[in-house]
Amino acid sequence: MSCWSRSAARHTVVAALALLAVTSGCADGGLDTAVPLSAEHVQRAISHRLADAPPPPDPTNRVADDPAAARLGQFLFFDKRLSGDGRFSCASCHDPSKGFGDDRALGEATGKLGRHTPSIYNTVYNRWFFWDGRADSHWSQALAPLEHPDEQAGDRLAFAHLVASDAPLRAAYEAIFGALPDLSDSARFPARGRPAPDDPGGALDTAWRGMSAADQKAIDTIFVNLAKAIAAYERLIVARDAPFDRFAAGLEDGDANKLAALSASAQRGLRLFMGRANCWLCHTGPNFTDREFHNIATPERPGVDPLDQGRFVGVDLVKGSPFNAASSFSDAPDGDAAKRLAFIIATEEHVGAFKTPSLRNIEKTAPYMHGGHYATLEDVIGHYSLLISPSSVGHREETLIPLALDADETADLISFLKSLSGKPLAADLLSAPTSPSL
Amino acid sequence: MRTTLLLLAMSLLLGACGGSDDSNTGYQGATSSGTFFVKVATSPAPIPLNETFSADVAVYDSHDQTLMLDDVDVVLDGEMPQHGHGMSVQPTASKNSDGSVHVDGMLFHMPGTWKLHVDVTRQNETERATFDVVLEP
Repeated sequence: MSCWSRSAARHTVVAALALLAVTSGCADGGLDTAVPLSAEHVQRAISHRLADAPPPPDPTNRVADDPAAARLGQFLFFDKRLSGDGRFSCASCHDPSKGFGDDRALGEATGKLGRHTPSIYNTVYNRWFFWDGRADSHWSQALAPLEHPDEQAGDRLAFAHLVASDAPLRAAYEAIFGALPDLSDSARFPARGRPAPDDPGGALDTAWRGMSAADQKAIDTIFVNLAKAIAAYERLIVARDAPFDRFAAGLEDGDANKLAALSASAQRGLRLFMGRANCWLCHTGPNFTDREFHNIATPERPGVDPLDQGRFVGVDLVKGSPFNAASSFSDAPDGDAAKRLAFIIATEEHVGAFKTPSLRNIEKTAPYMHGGHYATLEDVIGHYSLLISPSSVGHREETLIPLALDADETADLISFLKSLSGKPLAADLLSAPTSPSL
Repeated sequence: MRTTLLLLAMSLLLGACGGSDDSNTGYQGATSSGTFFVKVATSPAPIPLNETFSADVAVYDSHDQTLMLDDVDVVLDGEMPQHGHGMSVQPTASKNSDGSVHVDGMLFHMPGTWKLHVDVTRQNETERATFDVVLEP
């Protein structure tokens, strides 16, 4: 059963509320809300509440919920030694003070990137990772920036040697994953190296290709384990208990205090979101995303490839990844994630389509869209209100029609979106721990 | 996610375009030209929103619904006509020992009205049965 599943009892309550609204003719379903909400609005709102239940498990990562792994992962997340020149860590672009993203339109570290840095908030609920879904687990996502030449530009051999040579790191690693192999033979394990399709025949590539398959596998295993630890930390970055969640709980139990969690403006915004504006069709479920991909016809902007194929390419990338859920590095190569991988296909509808982002904590994660197209929520709503730009590649999702929202409606929708900000995370999750071990 | 009791009731009132449906137990009805009668049982049932599901499809002679046909090819597909798109996956099909077809990997990823298409082919002639599936979170 997935984390999204609701109990039969809850459905009965929802149905009862809906029936009450229908049979009584009350515009607000008998609930003490500031603005009238139909039975449909109520039901949809309740279905979007993020419950207190633990996030879904990740069977592909056997240490996903191991506190020791999360501690090691948190240490690594902030450790700039995991980069080629020692200047960048994961946190350089996924800055806790900037919504675990950055405030740039396009990502930038060792080099410049062509897409916006997604926030890490609530990625524990993802089905696919990256804007094009080219990774299918938290840990396989975490691998890529560590080596990408425009991101941290590190290499897996250097990471393995770092862990082997740093006593606290080594102790933390071995307590979780077991003894490291002996990496002292520099002929077998050069100081630096990785597969380098970006620079075939270069020093990193040559060093890697000079290794035996067994030694490559040993290094890959360390590399993956580091990413699994980082994933264990990232699973804790969850925005919970937003004003919207309290309001939705009030819709379930009728508690007036909970129903006061949203202003009248935010409630009008909810009504738009779940009703005429139909935002909920794609931003659906407790994490406000369908976890799938859509072409929303964003306008061209400098630095963004107008012919970016998005998911159309991402499908083949994730199916061909040596680190996907069906790979030998997965802890559940026959599990649900691996089976899901077997069914995905690239279709015409995927051309120019990008992953629906979660709207949780959206107030903290500007700018918006896969190319950082819009600096403000007003701009985002303006996009959907006008839809003036044609798709530069593929075709626009046919569900989208210009909303023609006026200023008051825009303000209401923004009030609602701001009600999706969760309570602050515990302070000790927001910075580097002093030790990689508990 | 499951369709609420209310929506189930509404769905039953509205009926299905290809025959009858009770999304708790499955869908059944005649194909377009009336040659075949199909029964579709999904797992889980009802069809979940945005979660993978499987289906077993049995095809009968429409004049003798006790006679299951195993000399037919069956393709199951999903479509959202109002949205102009189908599924984002390609399910796989295999034969069950009783002659029915097992389909894995179906995914209706968005809320709204889906058309569940069952295409039955025998001797290069294809007929379709279609059922409405209304999904709400």
